[in-house]
Amino acid sequence: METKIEITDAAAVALIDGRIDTVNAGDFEAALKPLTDDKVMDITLDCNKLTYISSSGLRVFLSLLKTTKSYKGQLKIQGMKPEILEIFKMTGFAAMFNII
Amino acid sequence: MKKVLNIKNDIAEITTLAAFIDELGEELELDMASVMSLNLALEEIVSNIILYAYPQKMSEDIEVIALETNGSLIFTISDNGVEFDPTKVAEADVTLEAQDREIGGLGIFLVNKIMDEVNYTRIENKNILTITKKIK
Repeated sequence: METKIEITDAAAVALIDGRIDTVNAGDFEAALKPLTDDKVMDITLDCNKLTYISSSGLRVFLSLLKTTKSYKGQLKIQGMKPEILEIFKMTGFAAMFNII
Repeated sequence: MKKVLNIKNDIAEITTLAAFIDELGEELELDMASVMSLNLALEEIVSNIILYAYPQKMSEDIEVIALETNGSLIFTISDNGVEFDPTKVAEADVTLEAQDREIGGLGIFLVNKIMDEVNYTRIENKNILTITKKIK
């Protein structure tokens, strides 16, 4: 798994590549932390290359959502594969997130 | 068809587990979405064992047996750690708003959603979890 961050003005796009599982969810969380530390107002998670996610990864998504909401920032998810979207639907995450 | 995987209670073994499930999926010619959901169910169970079953963190064994029979795929996961029945865990409430969501409970919720049957028994100081998915 690799998370590449692209920042322009007040917006950031995180390109997630690979799988997020129990082994690397902590790395994923650490990669995103600078964005919420800086209170970036507009964060997009690009999931085009996200191939797998387990509950440990979902927890990072949830905590990122809670943190961005706490400073009134926007969090969007784009390019999610159907099978990943299915997991988001199953867990009620699809209703919580702005999926574009 | 029967396949056996023996792993240690080390979180890096999740990668070994994923390779085992991918291989199984190839042999049984399962579609990608099914392989992913099986991977997910197994990871949730095995990571729970790795993280919580052995508080002393010693090198302990976890066994995963996959058996394909009569159109069903049956996984038996056993460990000799702390007694833990995942079928008794309170499921996450997936209807709550983000701010009310608790961390935890999601793993077992996913297992129950993905698999058709989830059964737990404790025999001779072993936790034995049997999970079944109809594949045909």
